[in-house]
Amino acid sequence: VIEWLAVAFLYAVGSIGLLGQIAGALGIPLTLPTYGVLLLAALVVVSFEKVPKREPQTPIAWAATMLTLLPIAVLILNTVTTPLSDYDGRVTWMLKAKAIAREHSITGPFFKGQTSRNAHSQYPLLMPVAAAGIFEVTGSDDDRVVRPLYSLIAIAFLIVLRAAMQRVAGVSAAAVITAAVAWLPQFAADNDGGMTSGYSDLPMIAFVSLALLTVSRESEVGSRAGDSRLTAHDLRLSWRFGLQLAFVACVKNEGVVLAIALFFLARFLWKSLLPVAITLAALAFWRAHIPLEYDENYPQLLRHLGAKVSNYPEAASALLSRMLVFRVWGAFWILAAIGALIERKRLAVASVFVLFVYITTYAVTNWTIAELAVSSAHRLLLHLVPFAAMLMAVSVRYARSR
Amino acid sequence: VRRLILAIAALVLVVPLVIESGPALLFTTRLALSLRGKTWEERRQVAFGGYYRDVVALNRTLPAGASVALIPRRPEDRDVAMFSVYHFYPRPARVYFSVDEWHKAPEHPRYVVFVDHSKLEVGQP
Repeated sequence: VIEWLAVAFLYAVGSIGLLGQIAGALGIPLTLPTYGVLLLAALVVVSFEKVPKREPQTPIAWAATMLTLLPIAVLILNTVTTPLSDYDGRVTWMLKAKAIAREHSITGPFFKGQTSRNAHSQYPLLMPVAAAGIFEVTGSDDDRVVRPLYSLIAIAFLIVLRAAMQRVAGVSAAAVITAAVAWLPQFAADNDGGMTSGYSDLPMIAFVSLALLTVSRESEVGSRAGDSRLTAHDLRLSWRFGLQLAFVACVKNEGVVLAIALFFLARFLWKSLLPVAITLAALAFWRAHIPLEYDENYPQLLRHLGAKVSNYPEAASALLSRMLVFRVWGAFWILAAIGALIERKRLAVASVFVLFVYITTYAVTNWTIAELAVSSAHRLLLHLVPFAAMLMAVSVRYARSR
Repeated sequence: VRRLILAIAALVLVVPLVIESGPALLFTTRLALSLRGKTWEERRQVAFGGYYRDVVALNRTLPAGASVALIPRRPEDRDVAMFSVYHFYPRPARVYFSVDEWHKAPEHPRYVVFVDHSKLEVGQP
């Protein structure tokens, strides 16, 4: 039931945020009645999700679960007592949510740059739209009413990631790797992008984990992608997976890269890409009306990639060297790398692809690479944690099967 | 042997992370417990420091809806200026990194607030 609740919660948040972003792009006011309709649509999506069969737990799994509950307890305590105090949560994401709740629009004066500073003006708005829904319902603009949303997403992330790994490596290994993820300093202890923050990085990897759960549940469908005798179940699955990819692509800019990696990994039908295409088209339409402010113009930067190829060694070093910072990651990436060497299949390739794209963004940036890495490298590596955890799970399965 | 290798891998994976995150989680817990019984405004003053108290006071004294220009006194005060935009909201607020930038802006706000880590002051540029 806990797995179902976590999956249903992520579906609900994702659907409200995604459909709200599309509605907002089309000029539909994001008022309380609109949120009512979005909630109904989210409930329809959730209704397709079946309660999975409960797996018996082992003593190791119980011990690991207890260990995982410690940071979760601290998170809950922090949520109910401590004001939101991170950087981007206040400067970027929550300010957008407040503006949406106040203006009932994602094309209003705030987003047109006519009132307050709108950092990263063209960032996707899945999370701010979902958070604005809570501001609307509660009638408050105090961020403490929205903190539980982010905390529940962090908890749902751990549950869903564990469920995905459990199908690959069994309950004990999944529980132990989940405990490790829950105690990662970048997740548990970093106020900027970690579990206590209002950043969109954690929601993004929660949606990535949801897609990985679908991949691990339905891996046999991928191998039949070229088969013309696909069942209705396969088609429904493609739509569901496509919706999950759309959540990933619409929560942060980097989500597009992760969605490509997930699609490559799953080998599901091309129909999966339809929700992503609709979402990205709506996002592009909205962006055409919003002036680009306080942000990097990556399409333009990528045009000068040829001139910046020489930056790759520095960019790669800036990102990859962070993986070996023991006080932030312990042996996490070393074990993930061993997992990648053992797997040597699509999961490893997808992870390397994401890493390469992130290195490319460092190579083309107008910032000083070292300066950018200080403020973003560990947070970007957090995006790869679900892939790395799955690589570890696969390697455990391999070790058992030999 | 295989089980032993997996057990060692699990310990190598988990133990260092618990050791590294433990102190920060303890700090978060202590802070949370110390904030019990305080109002949310008091909690914010504890969490954010002196500048937050000034944002609240300025929000009360400046004319309703009037835009403010936030100018950090030193480069290291830029973050506080950014955070102040959030705490001033819905009052329109913009950050200018220097008085010169504020002057050159085509439609700059009339009220100028100089920002540093400990206080915000309305001033004449």
